[in-house]
Amino acid sequence: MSNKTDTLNNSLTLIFVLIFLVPVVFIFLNIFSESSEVWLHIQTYLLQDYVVNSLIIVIFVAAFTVIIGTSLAWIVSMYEFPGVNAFKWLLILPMAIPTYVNGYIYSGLNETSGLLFNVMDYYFGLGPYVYNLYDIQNIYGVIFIMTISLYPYVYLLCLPAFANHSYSVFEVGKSVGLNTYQRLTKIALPIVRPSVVAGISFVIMETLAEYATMEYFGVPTFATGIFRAWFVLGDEVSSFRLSSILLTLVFFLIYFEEMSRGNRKFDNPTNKIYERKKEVPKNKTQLVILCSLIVFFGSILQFFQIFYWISYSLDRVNILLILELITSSASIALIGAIVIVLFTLNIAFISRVTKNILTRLSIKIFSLGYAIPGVVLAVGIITPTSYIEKAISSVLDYPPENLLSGTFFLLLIAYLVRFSTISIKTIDSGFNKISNSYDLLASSFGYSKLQTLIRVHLPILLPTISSATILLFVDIVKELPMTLILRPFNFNTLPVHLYELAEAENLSSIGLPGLILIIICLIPVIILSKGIIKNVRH
Amino acid sequence: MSDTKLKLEKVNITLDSKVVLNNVNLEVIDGDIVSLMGSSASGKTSLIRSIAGFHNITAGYIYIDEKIVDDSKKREDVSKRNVGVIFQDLALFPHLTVRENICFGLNTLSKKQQFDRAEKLEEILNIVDIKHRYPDQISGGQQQRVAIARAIAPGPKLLLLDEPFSALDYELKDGLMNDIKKLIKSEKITAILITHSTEEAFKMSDKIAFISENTIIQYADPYDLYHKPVSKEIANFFGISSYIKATVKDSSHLSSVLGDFVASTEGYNKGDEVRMLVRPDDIIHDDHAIASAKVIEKTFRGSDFLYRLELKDKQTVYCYAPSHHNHSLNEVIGVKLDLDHLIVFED
Repeated sequence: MSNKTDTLNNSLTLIFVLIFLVPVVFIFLNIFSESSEVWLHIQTYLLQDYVVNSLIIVIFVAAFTVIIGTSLAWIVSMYEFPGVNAFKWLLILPMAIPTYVNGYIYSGLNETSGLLFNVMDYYFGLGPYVYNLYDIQNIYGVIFIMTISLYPYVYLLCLPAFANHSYSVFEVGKSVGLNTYQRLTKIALPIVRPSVVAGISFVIMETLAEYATMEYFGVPTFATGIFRAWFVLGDEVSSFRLSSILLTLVFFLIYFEEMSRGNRKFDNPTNKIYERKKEVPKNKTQLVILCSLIVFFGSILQFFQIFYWISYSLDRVNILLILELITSSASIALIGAIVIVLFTLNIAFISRVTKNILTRLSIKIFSLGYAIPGVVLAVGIITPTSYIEKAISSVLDYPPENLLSGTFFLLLIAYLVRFSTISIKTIDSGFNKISNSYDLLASSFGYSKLQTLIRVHLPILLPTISSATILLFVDIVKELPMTLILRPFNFNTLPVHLYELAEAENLSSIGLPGLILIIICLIPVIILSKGIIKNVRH
Repeated sequence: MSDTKLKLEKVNITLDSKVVLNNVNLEVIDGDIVSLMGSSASGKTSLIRSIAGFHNITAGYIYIDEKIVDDSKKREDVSKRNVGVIFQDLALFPHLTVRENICFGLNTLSKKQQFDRAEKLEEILNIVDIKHRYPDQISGGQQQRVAIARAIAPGPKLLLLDEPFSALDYELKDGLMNDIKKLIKSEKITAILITHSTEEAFKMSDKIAFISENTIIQYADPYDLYHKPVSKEIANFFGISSYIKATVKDSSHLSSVLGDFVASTEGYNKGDEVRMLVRPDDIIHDDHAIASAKVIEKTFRGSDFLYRLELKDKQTVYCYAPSHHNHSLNEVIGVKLDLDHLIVFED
């Protein structure tokens, strides 16, 4: 490649890296600003709550998701019982329901518009009793909601890890007299350890980043604290300080995950799978009941409640508004997904052809975007933007308002920083799977790098690019905190609308927009589950 | 114009700051098939990649058709060298059909010309029936044929094959090698083949270059490499070898337990102890022979036996014998040495 092209590629990469680093660097730089009264107030009265609540939630959610996720993966991989094949993918379904939607649904179950309230009231006259029976809007409720929403990530990562090992490793355990529990703890868990660690990290990051559920349940955590400090108390510095604590926690987590993974490999060393029939357990009825209960509380109940809300509020549905929300959500998600795919494709391609430290490092940096909680990223983008606007206005003598703030451009930048992770990992690993021989061969036939990209790489990468686009589309469609903070004036999306309805305690109107959002989110879940379950043996 | 197609002159190749090849010299005659052999990581692939133009040399010159294509400072672009390459993984494009794969390198030709060229090669390589299939829908042998057709389609001056047969089983390989050799010869293409298999090299090559200790240590035709190796390493690489003790009698004779032999003993003094290279096919089982040996190991190989024999002075040699010569272990049989030429190494 010519020096000119190399310089262009390196400059381009450097600009992209800067876009990624500016919000993070800005947050950390601002912690040295002078303490405000608000910060002193937060430090004295609120910080302890943020820390304690965040830690309690993270610890319990991580523990419960690991227990549920690994146990379910073990059960469906190892045992034969009625409906096991259906359970394999039904257990993934909660992934399609955004956490905050789960939160709204469970909160609404025993409300006057809720399914539980009305069924109990209609058949037994126990509506008011159910209403007063429990209140889920507390820290325990948050732990429950986060657990049922996030366990599928651990489950999905453990499933192939169990299945890609020959059953004979477990038979060896049996032959030396290990019981089921010992086989699980001494053989299975060490085998799936990397998947469990990856799952826990993801769960913890999602938990720390969750804003809407915490806000609706009234549980103060870092995410709600950052939002409140900025938008309620109007203090940037406090918001940056809380963000910097949260980011430090997240980066430590990533570091520990990498450390724990080390160079050890837990893949099947022989790649040979000894296929055999799965064990038929004595307590298969119990397994069916257990899986059914999790499927029921993880997804079926939510559908019942959603459909009940739809029937409850059908006469109040504003179809035009719903259509407008679908259009706006789909448009911004589609544009965002395309922009991110093009961006990451470009970076991954530059990295393939130049193979220098800068491009490899940039891929590593872009892979960290997802770890930055949406709220943190949003506040990390707003302030530097206002500085840029002020600088431009001082040069051009032009009023700075809305030059960048509150524009789609800024929203897209936020999506780019946070969601490039999904795309860059997928596309870069797709590129890595393409043999370098293809490039050499094409160059021997006189094809330029660009021609090789168009004629060779892109057609091969098409399925990868399509999955990345779908995943991005769905992640952007259900994204809430960044859209809420950075959206242009009067621009609404389905999640923002749901958030506003929930904040206005108008849960019964959530039905139709909630269902549409879930259906959109179901698309990648089905694609993902199909792909993973197809690769899972037995 | 000379008939040298490829010439390497004092070529050095470095990979990740490590010298892989040093002072490599090689001259390949137009139309020849030359095999590059040597142990793993001896630099064969690096050499072929440098010839193709995928890798820079650090010193020396590479000539194709007497024109310098790489002088370690300036390198002619790979696309201008007119070199066809077949990679070990074949690199068939999964999204293109067999026909499209073959036409991939013909993009400067018209559609009609591409069609004619592809059709001709498909016929020669017997892949007409699969031309509309994708690489994952055809067998390993057919994939190999498509890769060959694609590499040959643009009519390269030089064809570089990096272990193209390594993934194939014996039966498939045998037929394929015949067809490919015929095609290369009929198209009058000069080819460089990397292989680990002596059988492949003997079957395909006009000449073999053996790489060891970062350079080519012998470049000769297959017969000479087998019978006149310049080192024990080459002798062992190309076949089963035994080394019998012998004493230099005079400038043209050696004396050993198997008798006295005429041999060039240049460089040795009378009375020097040397080792004679003896191949299993040099030892003939003959009941009337004066020398005898005891069978101490036997391996049935279908058409013949490979015997390990112990000579009178406890030295051992290997010997092939037709399979109907079924001797028992510890049986003493008559043997004689039938040597065309004697190769001697230092003791």
